[in-house]
Amino acid sequence: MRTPEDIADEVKRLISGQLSIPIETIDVSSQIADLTVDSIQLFELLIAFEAFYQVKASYDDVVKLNTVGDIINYVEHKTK
Amino acid sequence: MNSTFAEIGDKDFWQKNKFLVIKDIQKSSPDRHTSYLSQAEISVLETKNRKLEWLTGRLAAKESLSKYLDLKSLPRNKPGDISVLSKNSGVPTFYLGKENLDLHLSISHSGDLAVANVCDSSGYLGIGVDIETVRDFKTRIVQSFMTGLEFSYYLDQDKETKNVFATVIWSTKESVLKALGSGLKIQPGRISLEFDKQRLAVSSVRLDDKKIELETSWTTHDDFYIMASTKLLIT
Repeated sequence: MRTPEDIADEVKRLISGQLSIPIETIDVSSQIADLTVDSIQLFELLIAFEAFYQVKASYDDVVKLNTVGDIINYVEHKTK
Repeated sequence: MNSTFAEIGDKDFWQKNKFLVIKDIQKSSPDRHTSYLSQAEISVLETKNRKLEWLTGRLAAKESLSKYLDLKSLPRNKPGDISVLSKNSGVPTFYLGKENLDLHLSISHSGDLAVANVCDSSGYLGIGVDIETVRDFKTRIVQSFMTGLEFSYYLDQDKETKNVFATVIWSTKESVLKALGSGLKIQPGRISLEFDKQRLAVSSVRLDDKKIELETSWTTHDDFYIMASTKLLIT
């Protein structure tokens, strides 16, 4: 069973690996639009999350996620 | 100002639409360019983390508007009198003072590149523009945004042109989704493109099985980046 701290850690690690940015520069308030360079990168990030957590994301929901904290909350909700 | 703009697209659709790509501005200070902004935009700029990227998009939009007005033989305003501000939906729009100009506008960024395009709202329901640098795609990603038929075309491409082709597909779909006003709320795999195989021009676009009436075109610059634009027709 993943704790909220585990999920926060995993999400930051996934973003860091996928976007090639240092993990220490990512925090819950980081804006996703500031971390990604373009829409393909955003889509690649989404696919990486779907693969890692074995979930199918709703695109309607995903576009409402603005910060890393929003992603963590979304993953917590989807993996319950 | 001209030195920071590189106008590309030299035929038909691209010429008529006066696409603009702005680059290299990122190497300079944002303060040098704030004379092109309205007071309302300067207030927004102060809240942005990626100031140069945001500014580059605004400059592309204003230059695109100038070209549009020239094309229609309409008078231009000073760039600082025009504001490019986002509606609640996030879609950018032009204001002259407090007056919302009756035009469709789309802006796209990729790294230090920005492109914008403008069209009137009397003939079109919306506009979408996209710019992407060509990159190495993982097959898993490509399959996620292509239909089966598109993926079979992709597999038919040479090793060198696979990534260009995949970027064309993505960029065209992104421009269609922006013109529809949905963005990524609609999974790009639900959009299917049919191509004229010779030129790889897009001949038909469907959302699920429904044909969308639009004008769409893409171009490339040295296979380094792809730009696509879509204008949704009023039917």
